Amino acid sequence: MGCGSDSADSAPGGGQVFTVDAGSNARFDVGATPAVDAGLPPEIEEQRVFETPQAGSRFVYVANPRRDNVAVIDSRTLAITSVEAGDGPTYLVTVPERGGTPVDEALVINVNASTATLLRSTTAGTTTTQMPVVAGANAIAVAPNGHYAVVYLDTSRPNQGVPAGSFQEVAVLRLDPGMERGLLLSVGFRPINVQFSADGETGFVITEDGVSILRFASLTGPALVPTVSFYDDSIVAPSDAGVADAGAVLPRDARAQDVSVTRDGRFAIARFADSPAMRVVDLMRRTVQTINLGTAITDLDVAPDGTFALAALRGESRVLRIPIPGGLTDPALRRSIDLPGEVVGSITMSPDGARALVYSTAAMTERATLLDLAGTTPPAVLRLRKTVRAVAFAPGGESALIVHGRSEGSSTEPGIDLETQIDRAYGYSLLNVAERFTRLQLTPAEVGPFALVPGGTHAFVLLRDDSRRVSLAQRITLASLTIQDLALGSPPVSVGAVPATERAFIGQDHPEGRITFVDWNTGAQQSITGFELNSRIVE
Amino acid sequence: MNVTIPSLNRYQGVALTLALAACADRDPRYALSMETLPPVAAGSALVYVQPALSRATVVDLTQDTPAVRQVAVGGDPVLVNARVAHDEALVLSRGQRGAAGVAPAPASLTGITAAGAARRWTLGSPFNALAQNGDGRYGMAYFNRSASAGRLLFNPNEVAVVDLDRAQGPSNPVIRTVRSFGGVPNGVVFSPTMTVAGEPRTLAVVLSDAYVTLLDLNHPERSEVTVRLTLPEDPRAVAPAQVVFDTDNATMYLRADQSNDLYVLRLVTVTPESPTANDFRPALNQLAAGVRPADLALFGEPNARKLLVVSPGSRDARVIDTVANTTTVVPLDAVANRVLLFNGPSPRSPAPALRALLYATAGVASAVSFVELTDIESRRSQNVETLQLGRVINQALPLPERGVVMFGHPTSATGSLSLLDLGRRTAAPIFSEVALESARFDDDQQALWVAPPSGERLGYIELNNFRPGELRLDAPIVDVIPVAGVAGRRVVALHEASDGWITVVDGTDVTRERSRSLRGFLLTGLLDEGEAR
Amino acid sequence: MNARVVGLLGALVGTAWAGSASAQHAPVDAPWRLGFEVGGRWHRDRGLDAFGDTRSPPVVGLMGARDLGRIGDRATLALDVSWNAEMFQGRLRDSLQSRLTAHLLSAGVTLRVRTFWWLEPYARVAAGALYSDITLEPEAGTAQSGALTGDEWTFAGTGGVGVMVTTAPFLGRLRLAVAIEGGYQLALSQEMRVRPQALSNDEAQADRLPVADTSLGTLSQSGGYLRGLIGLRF
Repeated sequence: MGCGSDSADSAPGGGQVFTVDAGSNARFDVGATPAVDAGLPPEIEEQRVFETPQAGSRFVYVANPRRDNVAVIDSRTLAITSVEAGDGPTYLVTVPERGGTPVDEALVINVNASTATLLRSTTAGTTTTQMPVVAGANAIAVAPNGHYAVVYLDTSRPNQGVPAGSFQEVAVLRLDPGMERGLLLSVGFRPINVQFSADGETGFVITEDGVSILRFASLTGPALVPTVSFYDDSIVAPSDAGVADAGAVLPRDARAQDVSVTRDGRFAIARFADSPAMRVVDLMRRTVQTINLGTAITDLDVAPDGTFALAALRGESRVLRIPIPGGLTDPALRRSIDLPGEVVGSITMSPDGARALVYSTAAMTERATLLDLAGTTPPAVLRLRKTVRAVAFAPGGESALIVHGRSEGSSTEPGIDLETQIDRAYGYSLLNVAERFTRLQLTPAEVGPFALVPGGTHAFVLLRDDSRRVSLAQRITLASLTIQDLALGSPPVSVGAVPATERAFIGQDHPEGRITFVDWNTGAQQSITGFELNSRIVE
Repeated sequence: MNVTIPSLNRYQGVALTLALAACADRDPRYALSMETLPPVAAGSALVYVQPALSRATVVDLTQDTPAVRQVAVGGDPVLVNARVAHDEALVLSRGQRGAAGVAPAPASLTGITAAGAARRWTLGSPFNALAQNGDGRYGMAYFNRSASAGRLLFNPNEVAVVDLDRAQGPSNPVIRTVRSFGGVPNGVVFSPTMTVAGEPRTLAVVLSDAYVTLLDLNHPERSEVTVRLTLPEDPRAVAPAQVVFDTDNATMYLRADQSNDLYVLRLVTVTPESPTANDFRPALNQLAAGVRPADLALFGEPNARKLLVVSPGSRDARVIDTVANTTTVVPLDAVANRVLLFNGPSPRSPAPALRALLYATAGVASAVSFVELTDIESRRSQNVETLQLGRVINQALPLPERGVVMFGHPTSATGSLSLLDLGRRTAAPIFSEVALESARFDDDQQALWVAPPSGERLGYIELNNFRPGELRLDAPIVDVIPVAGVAGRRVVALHEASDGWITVVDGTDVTRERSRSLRGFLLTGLLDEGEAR
Repeated sequence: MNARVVGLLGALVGTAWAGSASAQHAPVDAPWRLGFEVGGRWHRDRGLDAFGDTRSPPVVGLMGARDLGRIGDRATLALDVSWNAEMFQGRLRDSLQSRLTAHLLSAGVTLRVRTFWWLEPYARVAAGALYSDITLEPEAGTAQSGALTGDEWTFAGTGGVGVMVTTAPFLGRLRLAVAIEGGYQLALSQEMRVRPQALSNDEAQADRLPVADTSLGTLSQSGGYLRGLIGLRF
């Protein structure tokens, strides 16, 4: 599945690819203990999957670990080329751009060789470069400027049976043509995520211990990366300025959650499960500050421009807007958005930071609240008719897709009323932000991966139920909220956008490989299957 | 036996010679079996092949008095087929392994005309199967795994491509070994002439388990192209079962057992890298076609080709847009595993248009579906009309050019046949004692001929007016073979007789007066065989 | 040849010698002759292999002759009429029972030269007609198609030499005559054609579809022969 992140420039495919985003900015959970908040369980998050086709600007890449190659598919001509990678190419991401220019590059981890292969594609062909990476690595993060990538072992995800590698090592890869190289660096224990500064010159490895700071330009060889801890006030590097403890008591084994780094790379902000404490790490000064927000923080999001953070205080039915950096030290600058009667569990902000949807994935509420963060429009409560599981905004923020949960039971059981029928069905809603208009779409199967194309004009949702032979994609025109069903030949597994050709690709579960390209403007489809077999035609 | 007695005088020598002559061994040919391979029609002649005698008996029915000729063929003939679109029979012989007194001889293919003229091509290996392309220009001999090869060792992937329009020569036939991935050929299909890389050519598609091999018959010196249908770790026995060619787009569509996909091979022009490399390369794609597709047909304009696919047990038909690879599912009320495209009217529209009949054989359905192909993707079920026949269909004998399909049903009080009029969409039961397996259309498809097993009566149905009739013959009928006639259509009824027995029936005047028999023709020249040696 | 035959011949010779010791060169007054013949022919045509394992089946026949007159003191010219037949039978092509019966009806002229009254070498020529009758019948258990039959006449002639031994009279004028003759039979080739055997029921036969007959090819029954005749002269 694609990831739900408002760091859209780091998502593959050149566009935003969202899956069931539980409203968290970061898609990781650093060993949180189950929270108890008014009897409600913690909010739910889901992980990104790498082993699926990924799209560059024009080409789509499919890793074939069994055959040690990567299929490169031209989305314009549908020509397929199999390019030899390393031993067991498995985890693959694409590089969206470099220096503001879209590129067709992909990076794949060869799990059996502890190397990564960088593929560059043009109409003339694809070239490859090999670089060393961490043994057992199963995750890749690419800097927004496309110059660097960080490869690491994310132990929260399965690694396809490869013997575990180092828990405290990452590989930093330089991706610039002619300057490709890889460096192995020691970081904090168990890297979980990597974020980057807006300029892409600094990477922040979120580990269990804290945040390890990678200043790429200064990396010349294997080194010990300075790490700033969230927990016991230990500071790896000198300049210990002490920790401000605002009186929030944190258990010894508390683990930081929803860790975000501001786009300028100045601050890392985290919350802790079932705690009102918000910990702020000044990555420049390497100081740690704790802010007590008075009630347990159920979600914490940083605005895309990094100028403020939103904290969901479910127990008080309010959202707290904290300006960065001023609001971190001056409570008076913080603004409370009260939403009495609403369950404020999770927050999802639009990519431009102008709006946010507030909802709960834990409470069985069929409502969400739309916040105007840029203006003064009062919050608007949206009646959804089904519970919320995840939310994704279109790139421009003018639309949003809300994935719903369902209650137990069959929606086709005879004798049930319409309300129950709707509750039991799968489905999603489309939100036109300006009109505050929602359209409910019930689906024959659970909502799978979905993607919004660059420009936010269309979205694609995958539906799959093997037992009932549902293999469907839905093409959504966001301007009109109209939906077109696209029957697929095989169960869909992934979806993404290919900007150069204005097509979405839908990867499907087929023994020989199947991808359907859909012109997102017209809905016209073209499928190619057997690209694995194409590479095995013998003359 | 040689005896040399130089001291005997002349008279004693004569006496001894006479004695020796009287004791000469019997010619072994007279003890050989007279069994024949199933006869075939070659134009206006019937050709019987007697394997033990390595000869063919050609019964030329051109004249009122049939002329019988014996033609030698290669040793150990195993197969005789009518040559497609030619008045000629092809006899495939495995040759002789050699034995005491029998010289080894290579395998060969013999072409025999109605006049008894023969041409022979030496094949070398003892092939046991033969395929021909659609115009009878090319034949390919290969090894069929289901038949015996008759040798200790043989290469099952060896094939021989024969240009049947050219005589034996250094490059005809072309004998080569087809690349194998552990399999052997299951069959061979020839493409119609289609333009590939700017050149009209014919391809032979050798079908094997899990792969197909393409041979360019216009350039037999070039290497073959092998296309796998599964990945190595795939355990499925994907066996190609049907190939449909789109000659306008140099594309072929493959249906395979154990696969839910149709395989599309689009022949793309490439620059050959060596003199023996091909100037085309197949690009493979797969189209989802439901569950276990059983039959397909291609229709539509060259730039908008569509496939109509049916799958048994799925109760639907699928229309696949080959350009967009999109699929439209059309639900059916009746199960179908066969597709018949036909151009004809319908009860609602007298103008001929392309339509389809979907039906199922092997006793799984008692109804058929008529499908209007115009706007099928948008109208779907609205374009489907179901016709109940009341009885399950066991076999079908389509004749779309005549606008009819003959169905065979289980024997019942109402008979076992019905005739479906495609234009009127009506089904007329035909009371019959005979099953459909032995039914034959005559050469110009004016009538259908049937003969009950071991019965002496030959039945027929005029297809113009569906008028039935029958003719009593003098002996039980084994089979019915239509032959081309100089003066009209004729049908030959075969009777059981080791020496050969046929009755020639005038298809335009089906009476005993106009029928005549020929008996014993397999013994023609029996007494001269010894002298001929 | 066994001891009995040798003994019989010896007895005949002895009787003839003893009975005619005093009139060894006197002609025998017994112009008529009736006899039974048995012998064999050695055919060369391999086509006969279609009818059995041997091309030399036994030949049996009857003959009758009468002396026409003497030529000179020792030669006698006789005229004879004879009939003989031979049958070939065997298995053809693993599925048919084949049978060929050949009847030769001929009239001949014999020139005998008296060496002794009881011993007359002779030369004989004859001409006549050869009738061949073929039957090809499917074996039981195979097809139920009925037999194929065919027949043909042709000219045949024989020429040969032999020797006749005549005994002394007994029972009045009867004399026993034994001859051994060898020579060659020349028969013109016959084209043998077969057709389905006619049905016993005339009505059914008339109802049958016209059937074109099949030529089996040509058969020549020429060949050397050797025959023995035993008969009575009177």
